[in-house]
Amino acid sequence: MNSIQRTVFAAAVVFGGFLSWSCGHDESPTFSEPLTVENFGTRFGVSTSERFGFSSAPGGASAAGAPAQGPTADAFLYDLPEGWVERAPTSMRLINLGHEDDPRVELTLVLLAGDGGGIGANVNRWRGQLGLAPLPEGEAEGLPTGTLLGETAVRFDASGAYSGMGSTAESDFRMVGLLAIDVAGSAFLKFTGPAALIATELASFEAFAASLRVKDPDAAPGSVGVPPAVSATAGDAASGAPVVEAPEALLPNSKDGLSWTPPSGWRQAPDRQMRSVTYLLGPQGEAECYVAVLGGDGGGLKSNLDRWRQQMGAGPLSSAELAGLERVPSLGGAAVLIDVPGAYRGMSGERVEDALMLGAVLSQTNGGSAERTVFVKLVGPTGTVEAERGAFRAFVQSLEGAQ
Amino acid sequence: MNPLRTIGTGLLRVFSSFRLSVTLLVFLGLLTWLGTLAQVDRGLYEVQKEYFESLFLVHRVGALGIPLPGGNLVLGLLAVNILVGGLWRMRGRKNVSGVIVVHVGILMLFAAGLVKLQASNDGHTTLYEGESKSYFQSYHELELALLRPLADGKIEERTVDGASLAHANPSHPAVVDGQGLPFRVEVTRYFENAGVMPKGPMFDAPTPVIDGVFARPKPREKLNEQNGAAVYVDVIAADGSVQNGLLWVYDAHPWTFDVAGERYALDLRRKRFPMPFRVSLERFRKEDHPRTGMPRWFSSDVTVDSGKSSRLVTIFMNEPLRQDGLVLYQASWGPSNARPGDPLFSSLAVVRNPSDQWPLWGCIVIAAGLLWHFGRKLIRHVSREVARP
Repeated sequence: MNSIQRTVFAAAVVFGGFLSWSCGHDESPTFSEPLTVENFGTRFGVSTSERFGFSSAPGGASAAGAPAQGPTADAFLYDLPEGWVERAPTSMRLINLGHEDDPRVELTLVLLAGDGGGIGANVNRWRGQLGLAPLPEGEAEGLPTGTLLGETAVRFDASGAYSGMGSTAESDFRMVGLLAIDVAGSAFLKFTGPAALIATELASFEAFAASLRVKDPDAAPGSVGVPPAVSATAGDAASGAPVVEAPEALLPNSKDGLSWTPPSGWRQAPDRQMRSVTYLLGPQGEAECYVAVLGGDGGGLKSNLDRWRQQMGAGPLSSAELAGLERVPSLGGAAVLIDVPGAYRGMSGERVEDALMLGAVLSQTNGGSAERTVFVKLVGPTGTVEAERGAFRAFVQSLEGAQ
Repeated sequence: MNPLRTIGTGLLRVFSSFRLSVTLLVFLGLLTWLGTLAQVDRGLYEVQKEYFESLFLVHRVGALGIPLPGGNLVLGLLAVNILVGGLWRMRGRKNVSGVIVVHVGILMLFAAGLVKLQASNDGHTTLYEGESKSYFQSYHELELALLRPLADGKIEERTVDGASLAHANPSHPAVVDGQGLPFRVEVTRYFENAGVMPKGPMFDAPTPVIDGVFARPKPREKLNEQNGAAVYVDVIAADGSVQNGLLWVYDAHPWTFDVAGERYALDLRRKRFPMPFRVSLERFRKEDHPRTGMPRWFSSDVTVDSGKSSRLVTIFMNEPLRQDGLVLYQASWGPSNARPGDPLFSSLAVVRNPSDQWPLWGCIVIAAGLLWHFGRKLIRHVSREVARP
């Protein structure tokens, strides 16, 4: 084979590879075989608004990834020593306490299934956090013992430069703990802080450990569960407090301290940020009416009305025009009505050439100053909005303070 | 002459030639250079797929398209070249045992790359304190998951690779076979990057409005992981009834529908990979540099539960957790705009790479081969010098 033949041969190999590569991309998609998996917070039957984060309901897109649920400290009883403060528990730290004199003090209770790696590994892990060398094998099992949750526990007491998880070491720290380890389930009570304060509070720690007990004496430590129908969400994750989800019946036609009666034919749209409610009007939903509530005067009546007028291509109101605007009774006061024809230009660039805007602004006062301001705005093609003029007025007048 | 023998000999000559070695190395250098330049305008992921994880590509210079062999092809041919050239051509030659060992080491590096390309997965598992997961999810790859809630609280899950849906459009929907299911799923539109918006009355939506919302296509982001794919799906039951859904990779929950009295849901999401253990984030800690928002260090205290036993592990920078073929690194945390007291999440990068340690062993073999080869030469040289009168 000469050099030309070799070159042709190599080109043929490369071309063949190209053909096989280009012809191998036309497979019809098929679902894999079914697999049973754990549910890590997936909820079924969630509304469109909640799925895409247009509502503030728990579990919305903004809350994606937040803890779905976790055990609480409710399963335990204990006597809280004087000066100690309760912190938000996590699902791992079933009890999470601090001390009011020093935020660096921590007392935690952790329960694990199994032996958690055993006594030696855990004792040496705690020693490592204090910058201490591991104990020789078997020595951890010979440490003094105490009692934790009715079980015999190894008592840990050591001082050093506490670095926890690789952080800058806090010098002169002390850690006292109880490790009740068993293959059926283990409990770890750990008390850490500046050595001087730990020494002062040592008797309180002993008293706390002695007082610690499971509420249901028949329940094993590892079986502490979550009460049904109670779930922690993103909003309460910081506090750790469980919340009971609000019944659906409370939600319709009532939000942000307002209630109202929607006119017939108005269709509620998915929730939007900053809005109490949005309705779509007209056969194709070509007009939109929404209610928004802002604190205080919401920037002022005139500036808001002028902004709305600007969206319709109209100039600002004069003082005389502002004073001459129609008022209708609403929310125990009088709502200012505005009526602006023109070409609508929305904030997102949307355009309606022959449009009509109906608006209502009502400030609720308390002691002479505006407590909050309610905005109602209907905008869309002139024909559609004209047909809803009476309904809009009735809608504004139907607004009430929610109980 | 036997024609088969001629072809065989020709093959060996082609694949063992130094000319091929040099040509391939030039292409490799060219690909590296052009691929690096391409990252100026396009993201790393896209460039990596096109230039390095491919057989062929067309590099654009203005309106001109230059066809080039892709990284897979070049490296594959180079591996064959080393195997044939380095091992076959040197057979029977004296004093080349060290060189052969070096070639074996280089082939180990190639094998490590091939195994990583074909069999590795990487992604992340992101946890808030108190949260647990036994899976990690890809940064880039997508999947469409069909979910069915079970009575015991678990989920029956079927998935299909998201890449197989990428061509879907109203004229040619991607029909996903629902084997054993009372319906079929048709993906009618696929957007690589989109936002989901509520339909306002003052503008026309460019895509179908479903339950008041629609997908607004957006330009592709340079960083692939920032693209939020969306699909429109039709669920067509056996009786011909159709239910329409909009799925978005950033939605918080799947789209639920009922067929024949059974509840199902469809979820477009980053591809998930199961882990043989459960990871629970007990505590996330970080410390910022003084008077800055830049973290000096951050770490995660996690519980690893294999089902039989649990153990506490601290994962922090440069101290990963290695277990059951997976490596979990402390990667990041968030939300970046969290205020003091807000709950933080910890993101652990997860890598499953069966050839994780092969490059190390390959380098050791190469070092041993070089040491053997040059050591023998040195000894021979010294012996000659000593023997010289």
